[in-house]
Amino acid sequence: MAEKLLEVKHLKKYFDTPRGKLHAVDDVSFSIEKGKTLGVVGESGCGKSTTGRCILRLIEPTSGEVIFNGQDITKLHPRDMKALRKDMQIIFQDPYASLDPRKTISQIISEPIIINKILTNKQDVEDRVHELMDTVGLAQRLVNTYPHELDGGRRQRIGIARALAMNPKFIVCDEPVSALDVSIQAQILNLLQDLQEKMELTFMFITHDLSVVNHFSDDIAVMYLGQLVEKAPAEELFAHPLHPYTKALFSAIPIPDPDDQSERIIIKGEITSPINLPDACHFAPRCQYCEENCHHGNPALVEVRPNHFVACSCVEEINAL
Amino acid sequence: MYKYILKRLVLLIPVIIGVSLLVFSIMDIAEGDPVYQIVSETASEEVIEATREAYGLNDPFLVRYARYMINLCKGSMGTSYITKQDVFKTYMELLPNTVKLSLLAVVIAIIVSIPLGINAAIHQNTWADTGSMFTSLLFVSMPQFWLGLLLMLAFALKLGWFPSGGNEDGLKSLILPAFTVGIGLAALMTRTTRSSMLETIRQDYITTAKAKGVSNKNAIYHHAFKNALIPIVTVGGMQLAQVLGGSVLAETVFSYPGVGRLIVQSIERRDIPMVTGALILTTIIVSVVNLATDIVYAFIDPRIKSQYARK
Repeated sequence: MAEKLLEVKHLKKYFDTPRGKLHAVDDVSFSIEKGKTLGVVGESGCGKSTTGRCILRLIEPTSGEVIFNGQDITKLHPRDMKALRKDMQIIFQDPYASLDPRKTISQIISEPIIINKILTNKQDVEDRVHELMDTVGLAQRLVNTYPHELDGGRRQRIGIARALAMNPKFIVCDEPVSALDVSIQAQILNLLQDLQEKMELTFMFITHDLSVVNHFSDDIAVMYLGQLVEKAPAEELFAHPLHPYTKALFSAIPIPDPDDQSERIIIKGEITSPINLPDACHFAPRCQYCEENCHHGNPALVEVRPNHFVACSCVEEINAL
Repeated sequence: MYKYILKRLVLLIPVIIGVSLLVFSIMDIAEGDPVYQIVSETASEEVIEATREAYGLNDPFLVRYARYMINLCKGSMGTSYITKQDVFKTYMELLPNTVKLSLLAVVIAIIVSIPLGINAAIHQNTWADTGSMFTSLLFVSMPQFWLGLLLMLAFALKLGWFPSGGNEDGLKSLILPAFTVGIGLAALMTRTTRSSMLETIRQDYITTAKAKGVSNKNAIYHHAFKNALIPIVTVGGMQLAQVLGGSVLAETVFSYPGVGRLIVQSIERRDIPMVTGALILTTIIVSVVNLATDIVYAFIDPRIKSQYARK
């Protein structure tokens, strides 16, 4: 088995709200092997992004461990954390909001290099910026432009160049293409894939676009209301989705075939409020297979097939395993 | 950009025409005959009539207005009815006093409000935030003349640190009026800084900066504050323009010889040339300060700069 670069154990993030504790991330555990990509899917508000940000400690997790390269980073002093930031980066969803509008492209890309004192010579920094712009496919003439002068695809390339500036080992891609046009999405995804090969990057790829995640991931984790409900290698998951929620998600992927007669599973009702959740299967209120005992106790992830984990107490009956 | 500045300056002409027409009409409608300011009230009917004729006060409204505007185009703003001094010269003698007072007030406002506003935004919903918001609400609502009187009581009468009025002691006599004006400005600016900062510190690029390894302090000053500047500069520019037009209340309370007090005194005395001239000059100053504020935007925000370039 390959070396684990990142291991997350019982990660929790609760937010205090006037109405009670909001369970954004509720006991999530997973690991990512070096050079691999974990796709994290789920609907809006299920805690995907919060998980990604907790791993980088851009948001402080409430509890749990994040073991990166054999070191639990949740307990690191901010000073040591700063040194570690070089290895862990993030690409944001919205390339319009994630770039400081007052800085030029070269200032945005060079800032992490200068702050972390990776290069000190001015000429070296400049060369490195040009090199990074080449890597992500940005023309050199754009070096002194401002983000607002560029289109979404180019802006996202800046975001990627910035993330690559410190030669990270691990990058959280927080819906990096969902704000882009479809034609540009493919370019950015291919760029990320090329970079992964060239630089041996490890990705945590957060998205709600299932076709993107299939294209991109080695493993896929499905999140619902702050918890993992299913986790399996990508091919296995697409071939045999076992959790009722995953099944519903997959049946919603549009298939470009007018004669396709497969039935859509429509999830009923609204997502349950993540505040003050009961100790029960969180998906139960919307699940068509829901039984009496689904309302008692929250099911844990269980390995039902090799490397295929599902959190559902009725998984065997539903899938006739 | 130069084209834009030129355009704005040309736009000043209709504004001046409008302001002068307005001042002329109001002074005409208002009660009180200016002739009694020129001659004594016991003067004989003939003297009064002769004076009226000499000053052209018997002519119809439009003739008087046209005559004033023609003189204005020739570069003359006329002489005061009361002091017989040249209007432009009188105004320019007092203007430096008002400029000194205004600048000091705005500097005080900036020094107080920006750290306070940023601090309130960073510690939103804590006692530091509530405390500074309460204080600024208090000072925004406090009438300026009352604040001036309180400061005068404390620092001039009781402690005797500063003079209670006039401008004979240089900087010392400037301190109390400047604080009176400045604290009121600071209160509004604190609130603007806070709300503007609250908006920017939630932006994704602040998270980006933290992911880059930028320290909290630098993320706030380099990324958040600089992006929060536009509304702060807008309010600051408006306030500067406003106090340059004369801080009437503070100048009156501290009998400080500035243009605000000049305008009020001239209105009371029906000194039409003085009022009209002073208001036209004030209009020009306010417009120029507003223009300067707009130009400063371009240096703060590259997005606005590229817009100007296209104009």
